[in-house]
Amino acid sequence: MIVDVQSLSKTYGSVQAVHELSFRVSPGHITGFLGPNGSGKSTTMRLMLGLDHGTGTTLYEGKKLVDHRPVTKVVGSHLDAKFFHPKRTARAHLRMMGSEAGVSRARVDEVLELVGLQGVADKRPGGFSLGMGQRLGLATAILAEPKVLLLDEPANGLDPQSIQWLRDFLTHYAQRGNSVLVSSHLLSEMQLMADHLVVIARGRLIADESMSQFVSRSTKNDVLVRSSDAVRLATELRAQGLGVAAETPEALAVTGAGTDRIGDIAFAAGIAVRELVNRQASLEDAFLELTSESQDFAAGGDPGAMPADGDAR
Amino acid sequence: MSAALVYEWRRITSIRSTYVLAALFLVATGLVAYLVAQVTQGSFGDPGDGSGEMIDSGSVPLGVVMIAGTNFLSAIFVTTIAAQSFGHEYRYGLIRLTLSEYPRRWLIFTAKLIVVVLWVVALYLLSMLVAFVVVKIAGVAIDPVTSETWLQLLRAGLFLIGYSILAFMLTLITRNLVLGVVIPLLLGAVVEPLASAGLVDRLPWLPQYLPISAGQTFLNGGDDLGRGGVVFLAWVVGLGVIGLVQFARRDA
Ligand SMILES: Nc1ncnc2c1ncn2[C@@H]1O[C@H](COP(=O)(O)OP(=O)(O)O)[C@@H](O)[C@H]1O
Ligand SMILES: [Mg+2]
Repeated sequence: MIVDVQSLSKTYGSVQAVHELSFRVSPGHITGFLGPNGSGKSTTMRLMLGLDHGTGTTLYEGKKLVDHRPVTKVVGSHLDAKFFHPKRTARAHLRMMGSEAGVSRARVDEVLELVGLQGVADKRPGGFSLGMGQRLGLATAILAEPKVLLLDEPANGLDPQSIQWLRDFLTHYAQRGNSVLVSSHLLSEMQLMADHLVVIARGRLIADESMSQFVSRSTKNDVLVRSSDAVRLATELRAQGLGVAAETPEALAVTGAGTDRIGDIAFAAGIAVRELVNRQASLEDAFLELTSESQDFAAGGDPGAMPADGDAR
Repeated sequence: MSAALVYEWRRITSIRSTYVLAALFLVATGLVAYLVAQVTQGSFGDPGDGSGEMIDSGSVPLGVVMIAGTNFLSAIFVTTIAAQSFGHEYRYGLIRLTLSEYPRRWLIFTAKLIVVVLWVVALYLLSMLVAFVVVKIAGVAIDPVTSETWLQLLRAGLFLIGYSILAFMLTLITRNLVLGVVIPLLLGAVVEPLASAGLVDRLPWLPQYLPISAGQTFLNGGDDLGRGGVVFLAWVVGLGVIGLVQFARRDA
């Protein structure tokens, strides 16, 4: 199911949390929703669900959410790992949340097992860890097998194995023809999880493209060349119009050509090359470059280094 | 609508505090019924023979005993159940899950109201049963049941429903469970009596228009049964409209 987000805007008092934001979530792959803390990801998701009132519309297969029934078979959302009553057992919570779609007891058990909560199904979630809360939230979201999943920072508080599990689970979920939108402020996490990226900063769209396109935009995509005669090699490469920067007396960072061409140039000049590697920019690099062009994030520091629980809700 | 009713039914029945509060209400009404029966027994009553002479009948009026527990103090347990309808949702952020599932807000609002009223009615009927049994066990003789008794019981039931809805709406409006329970209690126990007493010279008509005072006038079946009931109903409906409009308009 295609989700069409059309010029969403939302102002809280004097804070413009989301500004004329439009993008699409398509089935078949995971769309990463990326932005630093406070950039408006959670607000956008609440607007998409009709929880907050703003301007703009979100269409699910051409229709507004309220015009679909059952709603929970269209969108499953997981906005916060603490959205449960601390004294209502996990099983009772899911029974309640399954009412709209008429979810069976068997399906509740199935989902509990799927997220690994079967052992604590009849325990009160008040004592759950953040990771367990995330699992319960995910269980709630997928309960009625919705065609669209909206997950707000679902990897927050999960251990590396659980993140891997989440990634595999969501990948399969998307591959079955569903649309998955996952937000995160952790760029490394996104790089592992998403195929497509919607990047926002200060409530505005910065990029809406495939992960590889996004990353290739960075000037940090370069080739590392190590040679005993780095000085002469640098001269040769510059003569061919390539960008060269010395990293160490032996190593050069070269932009503007791939490993083949650089190898050929070195060979033609009779210079021995000891190492020749393609280096890909990390999402961090691409993100920082892009956002520093259009916004000043100086106050926020390195978005990738922000504490996981420092997220404003 | 039926799915929303199921949702709300599962919500209210899957929390232990609902049962604890229900039990506390029944115990409280039973206790008050017992005390009232003991106090009333042996006092002088009207034998009802038209003589106007007061004699010790040795029996107590059933209606008085049964509704004794339905005062605005012991009703706090019932109003807390009513206030939890929205109170828990706002306290734990569940409202966002609920409204993602039921985006048509008036629907879940109505479902919640219906389920709360069902609980209040059921608890009221149970409390009368408890009071009746307590009086029987205490061995107190009961006056014959008259149509006036039934009317009294009906008024008490309606008061309890209205009072619970006030707590329900105040919780929804303030998005705060404690405020929803405490505001009506403070109004009834402190604010309204003080305001009425303090302003008795300048605004002698005031108590008639205060919500809990009006409700109690209605409950007691005072001479202006009509006015007390209408004013009380107006407060309940007024707060209901404010609650629904706010709920529909504001962010979850
Ligand atoms: N309910 C709210 N009331 C006031 N301001 C809010 C509210 N929710 C979010 N904001 C503000 O809107 C901006 C975006 O917040 P949010 O959507 O939570 O960002 P993100 O999820 O990307 O961290 C922030 O400046 C935040 O302080
Ligand atoms: Mg957020």
